[in-house]
Amino acid sequence: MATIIAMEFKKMMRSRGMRAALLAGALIVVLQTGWSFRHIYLENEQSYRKIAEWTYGDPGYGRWFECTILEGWLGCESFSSYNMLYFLILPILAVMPYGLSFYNEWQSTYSAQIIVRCGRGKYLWAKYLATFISGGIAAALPLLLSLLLSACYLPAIPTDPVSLQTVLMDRSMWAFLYFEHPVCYALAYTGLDFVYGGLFACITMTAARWLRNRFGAAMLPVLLHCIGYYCIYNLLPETESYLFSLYLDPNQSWGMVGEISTGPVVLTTVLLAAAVTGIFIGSNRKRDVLTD
Amino acid sequence: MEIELTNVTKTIKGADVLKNITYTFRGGCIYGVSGKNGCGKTMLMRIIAGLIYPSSGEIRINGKRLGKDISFPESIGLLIENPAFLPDYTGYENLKLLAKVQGGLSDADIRGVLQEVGLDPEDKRKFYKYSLGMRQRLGIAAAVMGRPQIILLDEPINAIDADGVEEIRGIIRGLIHEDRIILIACHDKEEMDYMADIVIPMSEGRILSETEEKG
Repeated sequence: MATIIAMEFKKMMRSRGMRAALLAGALIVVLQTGWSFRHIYLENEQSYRKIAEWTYGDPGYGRWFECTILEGWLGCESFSSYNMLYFLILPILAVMPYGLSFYNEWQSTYSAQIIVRCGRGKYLWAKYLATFISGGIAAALPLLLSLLLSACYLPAIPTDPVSLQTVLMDRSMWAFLYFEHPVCYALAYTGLDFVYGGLFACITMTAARWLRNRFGAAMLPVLLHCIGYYCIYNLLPETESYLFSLYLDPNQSWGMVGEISTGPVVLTTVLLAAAVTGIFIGSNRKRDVLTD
Repeated sequence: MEIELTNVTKTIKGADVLKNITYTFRGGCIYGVSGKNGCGKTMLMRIIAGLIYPSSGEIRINGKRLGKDISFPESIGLLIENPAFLPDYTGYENLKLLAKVQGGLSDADIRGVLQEVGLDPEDKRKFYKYSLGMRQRLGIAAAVMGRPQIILLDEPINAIDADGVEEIRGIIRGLIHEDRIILIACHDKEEMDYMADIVIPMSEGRILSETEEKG
C-alpha cells in the first residue's frame, strides 16, 4: 500500500496542474501582500507618526493602533478584493492539481495497468488520498505563504478590539484564538481550508464518473460554493454554520452575522467527507474498467 | 498454469458482448483470438484480467475463482487497445513506476525489457512525444516486464513497422513456457496463423466451433 501511495504522491507533485495552481495562488498572495504593505501598513505608519507628532506622544490625547499580522494576512485582510477573489476561486485551485487525474487514467485505461499490479482497493484509496492532499496543498499553501510574508513586516500580536480594526466579533468561531493567539487562528483556519481544498478535489474526482465532462466536473465545486454563498445563504441566513461557502473564509462573513460555530462546522465537514469517500469507493469498487 | 472459463457471459447496456464462453487455456503455447472488430476479443481479455466482471459464469485461474478467491490473477501483464502511460514521463520512468507497484524488478530488468522491444532506456523524450509505434513497443514492454504467468496482448503489432513486427514476433515466441499462458488478439488472420499455436475464432461474443468457422 505504501508503494502505491508514494507513487501517487510523486505523480501528484509532478503534475502540471499542481504547478499551475501553486503559481496562481502565489501570484494572488504576492499581489495582495504588495497592496497590503502599501495601503494598510505604510498608510497606517504615516498616520501613526503624524498623530504622535501632533499629540507629543501623550496617550491622553487618544491612541493609534499599529497594524497586526492578521491585518496583512490574505485570510483576514478585508480592504482589498484579494481575499474575496481567493476564496471564490479556491475550489478551482483545489481541483487543478489532481482532481481529474482519476477520470483521465480511467478513460485512457492507464488505471488497468495499475489495478492488475496492485489491486483495485489499493489503487482507489491511494488515488483518493493523493487527490485529497493535492487539493489541500493547493488551498493551504498560499495562505501559509501569505502568513509568512505578513510576518515579515507586521508584528505577530493580537489585534486590539478597541482599535476597530478587527474583522471578528467576540462570539465568532474561534474568537479566543483570533483575539489572543492570532498565528494559531491563522494556522487553524488554514487547516480547515486544507480539508475543504481536499474535499473539493475529491468531489470533482467522484462526480467526473457521472458528468463525463472534464470541465463540468472541474467546475462543480465552485458551482456548489457559489450556490451556497449567493443562493442558500440569502434565502436561509440561519444556515451559515452549515454552509462551507461562508465559513471557509477566516473573515467569517466579515462578522456580519457571526453565528458560525464549531459544532455545525465539524458536523458538516465530517458528513461531507464521509459522503464523498463512501460514494467514490463504493461506486468504483465493482466498476468495470472500461472507457465510458 | 490453467485458465478455465465456464459459461461466461457479459452484458453491457443490454447487449451481450460475451455469450456463454466455455474454454480452458493451458500454459506452454500461444493462443490467438481472431475475429472482426467488436467480436469480443478485447472483452475476453479484460474479463480474464479481472478488469470487468462477468454477468454470469465463472473464471478459475489455477483452480481459484476470479472475483471470489482472488480479485486479480496473481501474475499478469497486459496490453489492451491503445497503450496508455503518463504523458509527462519518459518510457523508462513510466516502466519504473509500474515496476515499483509490481515489486521485485530491478533497474537492469527495466532497461533490459526496453532494449528488448527496441526502445532506448536513455531516451529523454516524454511519452506524449512518442510515435504510435514507440507507444506500442512501450506497451509490449510493460506487458512482458517481469515475465508474468499470464500475458494478454491485444493487437500487439498495431502501428509497428515491418522490421519491428519480426522483433515483436521473436519476443513473443521467446516467452513460451509451460507455466505461462500467452493470449494474443489480432484481427489479421494471416498474422494470427503465423504467431499463434492455437487459434480461437470469435464472432458476436461467441467462440466459434470448428464447423461454424468453416461454414
